[in-house]
Amino acid sequence: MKIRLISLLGFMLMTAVTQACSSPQTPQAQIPTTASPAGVSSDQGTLVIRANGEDFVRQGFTSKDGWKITFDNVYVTLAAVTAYQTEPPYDAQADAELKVKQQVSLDQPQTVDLAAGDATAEPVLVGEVTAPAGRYNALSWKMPKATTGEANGYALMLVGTATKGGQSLPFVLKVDEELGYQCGEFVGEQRKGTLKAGDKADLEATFHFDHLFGDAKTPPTDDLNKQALGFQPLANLAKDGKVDVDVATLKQSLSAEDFRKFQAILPSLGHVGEGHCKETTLAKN
Amino acid sequence: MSKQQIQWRRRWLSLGGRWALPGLLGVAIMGLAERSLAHGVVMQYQTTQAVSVQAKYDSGDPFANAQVTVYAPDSDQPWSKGTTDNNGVFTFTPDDSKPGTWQVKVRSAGHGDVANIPVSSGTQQLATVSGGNGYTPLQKGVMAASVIWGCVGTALFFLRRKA
Repeated sequence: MKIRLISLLGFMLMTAVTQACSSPQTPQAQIPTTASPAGVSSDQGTLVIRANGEDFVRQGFTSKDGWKITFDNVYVTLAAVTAYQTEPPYDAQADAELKVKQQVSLDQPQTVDLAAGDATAEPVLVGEVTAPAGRYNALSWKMPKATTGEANGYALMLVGTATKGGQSLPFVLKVDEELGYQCGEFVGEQRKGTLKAGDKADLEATFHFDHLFGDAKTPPTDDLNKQALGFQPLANLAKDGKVDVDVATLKQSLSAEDFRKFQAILPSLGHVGEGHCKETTLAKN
Repeated sequence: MSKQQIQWRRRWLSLGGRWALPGLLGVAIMGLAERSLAHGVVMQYQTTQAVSVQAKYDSGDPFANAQVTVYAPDSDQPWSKGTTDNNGVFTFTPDDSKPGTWQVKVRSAGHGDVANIPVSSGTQQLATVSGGNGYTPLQKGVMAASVIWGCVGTALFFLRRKA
Protein backbone atom coordinates (compact mmCIF):
# COMPACT_ATOMS: atom_id res chain seq x y z
CA MET A 1 0.00 0.00 0.00
CA LYS A 2 2.74 2.42 1.00
CA ILE A 3 4.71 1.74 -2.13
CA ARG A 4 1.60 2.29 -4.21
CA LEU A 5 1.01 5.66 -2.60
CA ILE A 6 4.62 6.72 -3.19
CA SER A 7 4.30 5.56 -6.73
CA LEU A 8 1.12 7.57 -7.18
CA LEU A 9 2.66 10.72 -5.73
CA GLY A 10 5.75 10.28 -7.87
CA PHE A 11 3.64 9.93 -10.96
CA MET A 12 1.65 13.07 -10.14
CA LEU A 13 4.86 14.96 -9.51
CA MET A 14 6.32 13.80 -12.81
CA THR A 15 3.16 14.89 -14.59
CA ALA A 16 3.29 18.31 -12.99
CA VAL A 17 6.96 18.71 -13.88
CA THR A 18 6.22 17.71 -17.45
CA GLN A 19 3.59 20.38 -17.78
CA ALA A 20 5.81 22.97 -16.19
CA CYS A 21 8.71 22.13 -18.44
CA SER A 22 6.63 22.37 -21.58
CA SER A 23 5.58 25.93 -20.87
CA PRO A 24 8.89 27.68 -21.62
CA GLN A 25 8.97 26.01 -24.99
CA THR A 26 5.98 27.98 -26.07
CA PRO A 27 7.37 30.83 -28.20
CA GLN A 28 6.76 34.28 -26.86
CA ALA A 29 6.79 37.53 -28.74
CA GLN A 30 9.90 39.44 -27.79
CA ILE A 31 9.18 42.95 -26.67
CA PRO A 32 12.11 45.28 -27.20
CA THR A 33 13.40 46.88 -24.08
CA THR A 34 12.98 50.59 -23.68
CA ALA A 35 16.14 52.55 -23.20
CA SER A 36 16.13 55.09 -20.42
CA PRO A 37 15.81 58.61 -21.79
CA ALA A 38 18.74 60.91 -21.70
CA GLY A 39 18.38 63.02 -18.61
CA VAL A 40 20.05 66.16 -17.51
CA SER A 41 22.55 65.39 -14.83
CA SER A 42 22.97 67.71 -11.91
CA ASP A 43 26.70 67.32 -12.28
CA GLN A 44 28.53 70.00 -14.20
CA GLY A 45 31.31 70.42 -16.66
CA THR A 46 32.78 73.23 -18.72
CA LEU A 47 31.54 74.34 -22.09
CA VAL A 48 34.20 76.00 -24.23
CA ILE A 49 32.85 78.32 -26.89
CA ARG A 50 35.06 79.05 -29.88
CA ALA A 51 34.74 81.13 -33.02
CA ASN A 52 36.16 79.88 -36.31
CA GLY A 53 36.74 81.61 -39.62
CA GLU A 54 38.08 78.34 -40.99
CA ASP A 55 41.00 78.00 -43.38
CA PHE A 56 39.50 80.67 -45.62
CA VAL A 57 40.48 83.23 -43.00
CA ARG A 58 43.64 81.61 -41.63
CA GLN A 59 45.18 80.62 -44.96
CA GLY A 60 43.42 82.85 -47.47
CA PHE A 61 41.63 81.77 -50.61
CA THR A 62 40.85 82.83 -54.15
CA SER A 63 37.52 84.47 -54.77
CA LYS A 64 35.18 83.36 -57.53
CA ASP A 65 36.45 86.23 -59.67
CA GLY A 66 40.12 85.40 -59.26
CA TRP A 67 41.26 87.66 -56.43
CA LYS A 68 43.66 85.99 -54.01
CA ILE A 69 42.47 87.16 -50.61
CA THR A 70 44.42 87.07 -47.37
CA PHE A 71 43.30 88.43 -44.04
CA ASP A 72 45.22 90.38 -41.41
CA ASN A 73 42.25 90.69 -39.08
CA VAL A 74 38.68 89.53 -39.05
CA TYR A 75 36.96 91.07 -36.06
CA VAL A 76 33.61 89.82 -34.94
CA THR A 77 31.83 90.74 -31.75
CA LEU A 78 29.82 88.01 -30.11
CA ALA A 79 27.31 88.64 -27.36
CA ALA A 80 24.59 86.65 -25.61
CA VAL A 81 26.33 83.49 -26.68
CA THR A 82 24.00 80.74 -25.47
CA ALA A 83 24.29 76.98 -25.67
CA TYR A 84 21.15 74.89 -25.45
CA GLN A 85 20.05 71.36 -24.84
CA THR A 86 16.99 71.08 -27.04
CA GLU A 87 14.43 68.32 -27.46
CA PRO A 88 13.49 67.70 -30.16
CA PRO A 89 16.82 68.80 -31.59
CA TYR A 90 16.53 72.28 -32.99
CA ASP A 91 16.55 72.52 -36.77
CA ALA A 92 17.40 76.01 -37.96
CA GLN A 93 16.47 75.29 -41.56
CA ALA A 94 13.04 74.02 -40.58
CA ASP A 95 12.62 77.25 -38.59
CA ALA A 96 11.05 75.20 -35.83
CA GLU A 97 10.56 76.39 -32.30
CA LEU A 98 13.57 76.17 -30.00
CA LYS A 99 12.39 73.79 -27.24
CA VAL A 100 14.93 74.21 -24.51
CA LYS A 101 15.65 71.73 -21.72
CA GLN A 102 18.73 73.49 -20.48
CA GLN A 103 20.71 76.55 -21.45
CA VAL A 104 23.82 78.41 -20.40
CA SER A 105 25.22 81.73 -21.60
CA LEU A 106 28.46 83.63 -21.62
CA ASP A 107 28.22 86.75 -19.50
CA GLN A 108 30.11 89.33 -21.48
CA PRO A 109 30.27 90.38 -25.14
CA GLN A 110 33.59 89.53 -26.67
CA THR A 111 35.32 90.87 -29.76
CA VAL A 112 37.62 88.28 -31.31
CA ASP A 113 39.95 88.24 -34.28
CA LEU A 114 39.25 85.17 -36.38
CA ALA A 115 42.56 85.68 -38.21
CA ALA A 116 44.63 85.53 -35.03
CA GLY A 117 47.52 83.10 -35.11
CA ASP A 118 49.16 81.38 -38.04
CA ALA A 119 47.69 79.33 -40.85
CA THR A 120 47.26 76.33 -38.59
CA ALA A 121 45.90 78.15 -35.55
CA GLU A 122 43.07 76.67 -33.53
CA PRO A 123 39.67 78.35 -33.57
CA VAL A 124 39.62 81.41 -31.34
CA LEU A 125 38.42 81.12 -27.77
CA VAL A 126 35.34 83.21 -27.03
CA GLY A 127 34.72 82.07 -23.48
CA GLU A 128 34.06 79.23 -21.10
CA VAL A 129 31.05 78.58 -18.95
CA THR A 130 30.20 76.04 -16.27
CA ALA A 131 27.21 74.02 -17.41
CA PRO A 132 25.13 71.01 -16.41
CA ALA A 133 26.21 67.84 -18.15
CA GLY A 134 24.22 66.89 -21.21
CA ARG A 135 24.10 67.20 -24.93
CA TYR A 136 24.25 70.79 -26.16
CA ASN A 137 22.79 70.63 -29.64
CA ALA A 138 22.02 74.26 -30.35
CA LEU A 139 23.89 77.54 -30.16
CA SER A 140 22.89 81.14 -30.63
CA TRP A 141 24.73 84.41 -30.54
CA LYS A 142 24.30 88.06 -31.32
CA MET A 143 26.72 90.25 -33.22
CA PRO A 144 26.37 93.77 -31.88
CA LYS A 145 28.66 96.62 -32.77
CA ALA A 146 31.94 96.57 -30.90
CA THR A 147 32.27 99.33 -28.35
CA THR A 148 36.03 99.32 -28.07
CA GLY A 149 39.13 98.40 -30.02
CA GLU A 150 39.98 98.37 -33.71
CA ALA A 151 36.48 97.39 -34.72
CA ASN A 152 34.75 99.96 -32.54
CA GLY A 153 31.35 100.75 -34.02
CA TYR A 154 31.19 97.64 -36.21
CA ALA A 155 29.77 94.19 -35.73
CA LEU A 156 32.11 92.76 -38.36
CA MET A 157 35.31 94.13 -39.80
CA LEU A 158 37.51 92.49 -42.42
CA VAL A 159 41.06 93.71 -42.94
CA GLY A 160 43.29 92.16 -45.57
CA THR A 161 44.82 92.26 -48.99
CA ALA A 162 43.44 91.15 -52.36
CA THR A 163 45.79 90.37 -55.20
CA LYS A 164 45.08 89.74 -58.85
CA GLY A 165 47.21 90.05 -61.98
CA GLY A 166 50.00 91.89 -60.20
CA GLN A 167 47.60 94.34 -58.57
CA SER A 168 47.51 94.28 -54.82
CA LEU A 169 44.71 96.03 -52.97
CA PRO A 170 44.65 96.41 -49.22
CA PHE A 171 41.06 96.42 -48.08
CA VAL A 172 38.93 97.20 -45.06
CA LEU A 173 35.29 96.17 -45.08
CA LYS A 174 33.27 97.47 -42.14
CA VAL A 175 29.80 96.17 -41.36
CA ASP A 176 27.70 97.99 -38.84
CA GLU A 177 24.62 95.89 -39.44
CA GLU A 178 23.91 94.06 -36.21
CA LEU A 179 23.34 90.37 -36.74
CA GLY A 180 22.21 87.36 -34.75
CA TYR A 181 22.29 83.64 -35.43
CA GLN A 182 20.35 80.74 -34.00
CA CYS A 183 21.77 77.37 -34.93
CA GLY A 184 21.26 73.70 -34.31
CA GLU A 185 23.72 70.85 -34.14
CA PHE A 186 27.35 71.41 -35.08
CA VAL A 187 28.04 69.67 -38.39
CA GLY A 188 31.65 68.69 -38.88
CA GLU A 189 34.14 65.88 -38.88
CA GLN A 190 33.57 65.30 -35.19
CA ARG A 191 30.52 65.76 -33.04
CA LYS A 192 30.61 68.61 -30.57
CA GLY A 193 28.56 69.56 -27.54
CA THR A 194 28.41 66.38 -25.47
CA LEU A 195 29.35 67.54 -21.98
CA LYS A 196 30.14 64.97 -19.30
CA ALA A 197 30.30 65.81 -15.64
CA GLY A 198 33.72 67.06 -14.66
CA ASP A 199 34.80 67.23 -18.28
CA LYS A 200 35.04 69.82 -21.07
CA ALA A 201 33.16 70.03 -24.34
CA ASP A 202 33.37 72.64 -27.04
CA LEU A 203 30.93 74.36 -29.34
CA GLU A 204 31.78 76.54 -32.29
CA ALA A 205 30.41 79.62 -33.96
CA THR A 206 31.66 79.30 -37.52
CA PHE A 207 31.83 81.99 -40.18
CA HIS A 208 31.85 81.25 -43.91
CA PHE A 209 33.43 84.14 -45.77
CA ASP A 210 33.43 82.20 -49.00
CA HIS A 211 29.74 83.05 -49.07
CA LEU A 212 30.75 86.67 -49.46
CA PHE A 213 33.55 86.37 -51.98
CA GLY A 214 32.85 83.03 -53.62
CA ASP A 215 35.41 80.29 -54.04
CA ALA A 216 37.45 79.65 -57.17
CA LYS A 217 37.70 75.98 -56.19
CA THR A 218 33.96 75.63 -56.50
CA PRO A 219 32.29 75.52 -59.91
CA PRO A 220 30.89 78.88 -61.11
CA THR A 221 27.50 77.20 -61.43
CA ASP A 222 27.47 76.24 -57.74
CA ASP A 223 24.89 78.14 -55.71
CA LEU A 224 27.66 79.38 -53.46
CA ASN A 225 29.29 81.24 -56.34
CA LYS A 226 26.09 82.32 -58.00
CA GLN A 227 24.98 84.00 -54.80
CA ALA A 228 28.37 85.39 -53.76
CA LEU A 229 29.32 89.00 -54.40
CA GLY A 230 32.95 88.27 -55.27
CA PHE A 231 35.72 90.78 -54.72
CA GLN A 232 35.66 92.65 -58.02
CA PRO A 233 32.72 94.91 -57.06
CA LEU A 234 34.75 96.00 -54.02
CA ALA A 235 37.93 96.40 -56.06
CA ASN A 236 36.01 98.78 -58.27
CA LEU A 237 35.55 101.05 -55.25
CA ALA A 238 39.28 101.39 -54.55
CA LYS A 239 40.66 104.86 -53.93
CA ASP A 240 44.36 105.62 -53.77
CA GLY A 241 45.16 101.93 -54.13
CA LYS A 242 43.03 100.89 -51.21
CA VAL A 243 39.49 99.67 -50.57
CA ASP A 244 37.99 101.12 -47.40
CA VAL A 245 34.24 100.78 -47.34
CA ASP A 246 31.35 100.45 -44.92
CA VAL A 247 27.76 99.46 -45.53
CA ALA A 248 26.69 103.03 -46.28
CA THR A 249 29.39 103.29 -48.93
CA LEU A 250 28.38 100.01 -50.45
CA LYS A 251 24.76 101.06 -50.59
CA GLN A 252 25.75 104.24 -52.31
CA SER A 253 28.36 102.84 -54.67
CA LEU A 254 27.46 99.30 -55.58
CA SER A 255 24.90 98.47 -58.20
CA ALA A 256 21.47 97.75 -56.79
CA GLU A 257 21.89 94.10 -57.70
CA ASP A 258 25.30 93.82 -56.03
CA PHE A 259 24.12 95.58 -52.88
CA ARG A 260 21.12 93.27 -52.74
CA LYS A 261 23.53 90.34 -52.99
CA PHE A 262 25.67 91.77 -50.20
CA GLN A 263 22.70 92.16 -47.90
CA ALA A 264 21.45 88.71 -48.70
CA ILE A 265 24.83 87.20 -47.85
CA LEU A 266 25.07 88.60 -44.31
CA PRO A 267 22.46 86.24 -42.82
CA SER A 268 24.31 83.27 -44.29
CA LEU A 269 27.74 84.04 -42.80
CA GLY A 270 27.02 82.39 -39.45
CA HIS A 271 27.21 78.60 -39.22
CA VAL A 272 27.93 75.82 -36.77
CA GLY A 273 30.60 73.95 -38.68
CA GLU A 274 28.80 73.26 -41.94
CA GLY A 275 25.40 73.48 -40.32
CA HIS A 276 23.27 76.42 -41.30
CA CYS A 277 21.74 78.92 -38.92
CA LYS A 278 18.73 81.15 -38.79
CA GLU A 279 19.50 84.85 -38.77
CA THR A 280 17.47 86.48 -36.00
CA THR A 281 18.40 90.14 -35.73
CA LEU A 282 18.28 91.50 -39.26
CA ALA A 283 15.11 89.53 -39.80
CA LYS A 284 13.38 91.53 -37.08
CA ASN A 285 14.37 94.88 -38.55
CA MET B 1 12.23 14.22 -35.17
CA SER B 2 13.66 16.34 -32.50
CA LYS B 3 16.36 15.37 -30.06
CA GLN B 4 13.96 15.99 -27.23
CA GLN B 5 11.52 13.34 -28.51
CA ILE B 6 14.24 10.73 -28.52
CA GLN B 7 15.06 11.50 -24.91
CA TRP B 8 11.43 11.06 -23.91
CA ARG B 9 11.25 7.70 -25.67
CA ARG B 10 14.32 6.45 -23.84
CA ARG B 11 12.68 7.24 -20.57
CA TRP B 12 9.61 5.28 -21.52
CA LEU B 13 11.75 2.23 -22.31
CA SER B 14 13.27 2.32 -18.85
CA LEU B 15 9.88 1.79 -17.26
CA GLY B 16 8.32 -1.56 -16.89
CA GLY B 17 7.08 -4.25 -14.57
CA ARG B 18 4.48 -3.21 -12.10
CA TRP B 19 4.93 0.47 -12.88
CA ALA B 20 4.22 -0.04 -16.54
CA LEU B 21 0.71 1.36 -16.46
CA PRO B 22 1.36 4.61 -14.60
CA GLY B 23 4.57 4.99 -16.52
CA LEU B 24 2.81 4.49 -19.80
CA LEU B 25 0.12 6.93 -18.82
CA GLY B 26 2.68 9.51 -17.83
CA VAL B 27 4.71 9.10 -20.97
CA ALA B 28 1.58 9.26 -23.03
CA ILE B 29 0.69 12.60 -21.49
CA MET B 30 4.22 13.89 -21.80
CA GLY B 31 4.54 12.59 -25.31
CA LEU B 32 1.31 14.26 -26.29
CA ALA B 33 2.56 17.58 -25.08
CA GLU B 34 5.87 17.11 -26.80
CA ARG B 35 4.27 15.86 -29.97
CA SER B 36 2.13 18.94 -30.08
CA LEU B 37 5.24 21.04 -29.82
CA ALA B 38 7.06 18.97 -32.40
CA HIS B 39 4.27 19.23 -34.96
CA GLY B 40 3.73 22.92 -34.48
CA VAL B 41 5.24 25.13 -37.08
CA VAL B 42 6.94 28.09 -35.53
CA MET B 43 7.51 31.03 -37.74
CA GLN B 44 9.13 34.21 -36.70
CA TYR B 45 9.07 37.42 -38.60
CA GLN B 46 10.52 40.81 -38.09
CA THR B 47 9.07 44.00 -39.35
CA THR B 48 11.80 46.53 -39.72
CA GLN B 49 11.37 50.16 -40.52
CA ALA B 50 14.11 51.36 -42.79
CA VAL B 51 14.85 55.05 -42.85
CA SER B 52 15.56 56.65 -46.17
CA VAL B 53 17.20 60.04 -46.14
CA GLN B 54 17.41 62.21 -49.20
CA ALA B 55 19.80 65.15 -49.13
CA LYS B 56 19.47 68.01 -51.57
CA TYR B 57 20.97 71.40 -52.10
CA ASP B 58 18.71 74.38 -51.71
CA SER B 59 18.49 74.42 -55.49
CA GLY B 60 16.91 70.98 -55.43
CA ASP B 61 19.95 69.26 -56.90
CA PRO B 62 20.75 65.97 -55.16
CA PHE B 63 23.56 65.93 -52.61
CA ALA B 64 25.18 63.01 -54.42
CA ASN B 65 28.05 60.86 -53.19
CA ALA B 66 28.24 62.71 -49.90
CA GLN B 67 29.65 61.23 -46.72
CA VAL B 68 26.99 59.93 -44.37
CA THR B 69 27.46 59.24 -40.68
CA VAL B 70 24.68 57.74 -38.57
CA TYR B 71 24.63 58.19 -34.80
CA ALA B 72 22.49 56.15 -32.43
CA PRO B 73 20.92 58.01 -29.51
CA ASP B 74 23.24 58.97 -26.69
CA SER B 75 26.43 58.08 -28.50
CA ASP B 76 29.07 60.20 -30.13
CA GLN B 77 30.53 57.19 -31.88
CA PRO B 78 29.29 56.58 -35.42
CA TRP B 79 26.80 53.71 -35.60
CA SER B 80 27.15 53.46 -39.35
CA LYS B 81 28.89 55.22 -42.22
CA GLY B 82 28.23 55.35 -45.93
CA THR B 83 27.63 57.62 -48.88
CA THR B 84 24.56 58.95 -50.59
CA ASP B 85 23.75 57.61 -54.03
CA ASN B 86 23.47 59.68 -57.18
CA ASN B 87 20.06 60.87 -56.04
CA GLY B 88 21.37 61.95 -52.66
CA VAL B 89 19.62 59.02 -50.98
CA PHE B 90 20.93 56.93 -48.10
CA THR B 91 18.93 54.19 -46.43
CA PHE B 92 19.56 52.43 -43.15
CA THR B 93 17.62 50.40 -40.62
CA PRO B 94 17.97 51.72 -37.08
CA ASP B 95 18.22 49.31 -34.18
CA ASP B 96 14.96 49.95 -32.39
CA SER B 97 16.32 48.51 -29.19
CA LYS B 98 17.87 51.96 -29.04
CA PRO B 99 14.85 54.22 -29.11
CA GLY B 100 15.34 57.94 -29.21
CA THR B 101 16.61 60.45 -31.70
CA TRP B 102 18.88 59.00 -34.34
CA GLN B 103 20.99 61.44 -36.24
CA VAL B 104 22.15 61.29 -39.83
CA LYS B 105 24.92 63.68 -40.82
CA VAL B 106 25.60 64.30 -44.49
CA ARG B 107 28.69 66.23 -45.60
CA SER B 108 30.56 67.00 -48.77
CA ALA B 109 32.95 69.72 -49.85
CA GLY B 110 32.15 72.19 -47.13
CA HIS B 111 28.42 71.61 -47.22
CA GLY B 112 26.53 69.62 -44.68
CA ASP B 113 23.44 69.09 -42.65
CA VAL B 114 21.97 66.75 -40.07
CA ALA B 115 18.61 65.04 -39.90
CA ASN B 116 17.19 64.08 -36.52
CA ILE B 117 14.98 61.03 -36.76
CA PRO B 118 12.84 59.87 -33.84
CA VAL B 119 12.80 56.09 -33.48
CA SER B 120 10.45 54.48 -30.99
CA SER B 121 10.71 50.99 -29.56
CA GLY B 122 7.53 50.02 -31.37
CA THR B 123 8.83 50.45 -34.87
CA GLN B 124 10.32 46.97 -34.94
CA GLN B 125 9.06 43.96 -33.07
CA LEU B 126 10.04 40.36 -33.16
CA ALA B 127 6.72 38.62 -33.38
CA THR B 128 5.91 34.95 -33.57
CA VAL B 129 3.30 33.05 -35.47
CA SER B 130 2.66 29.68 -33.85
CA GLY B 131 1.23 26.75 -35.74
CA GLY B 132 -1.33 25.80 -33.09
CA ASN B 133 0.99 24.43 -30.44
CA GLY B 134 0.32 27.12 -27.90
CA TYR B 135 -2.37 26.56 -25.25
CA THR B 136 -4.84 28.97 -23.87
CA PRO B 137 -5.28 29.14 -20.09
CA LEU B 138 -8.62 27.32 -20.47
CA GLN B 139 -6.97 24.51 -22.41
CA LYS B 140 -4.24 24.20 -19.80
CA GLY B 141 -6.84 24.06 -17.05
CA VAL B 142 -8.78 21.26 -18.75
CA MET B 143 -5.56 19.34 -19.34
CA ALA B 144 -4.52 19.67 -15.70
CA ALA B 145 -7.96 18.56 -14.50
CA SER B 146 -7.82 15.57 -16.85
CA VAL B 147 -4.42 14.56 -15.56
CA ILE B 148 -5.50 14.87 -11.92
CA TRP B 149 -8.66 12.93 -12.58
CA GLY B 150 -6.59 10.27 -14.34
CA CYS B 151 -4.30 10.04 -11.35
CA VAL B 152 -7.19 9.71 -8.95
CA GLY B 153 -8.75 6.99 -11.11
CA THR B 154 -5.46 5.14 -11.31
CA ALA B 155 -5.01 5.37 -7.56
CA LEU B 156 -8.49 4.07 -6.98
CA PHE B 157 -7.77 1.23 -9.37
CA PHE B 158 -4.76 0.12 -7.37
CA LEU B 159 -6.37 0.75 -4.00
CA ARG B 160 -9.57 -1.12 -4.72
CA ARG B 161 -10.34 -3.92 -2.36
CA LYS B 162 -10.27 -7.25 -3.96
CA ALA B 163 -13.52 -9.05 -3.74
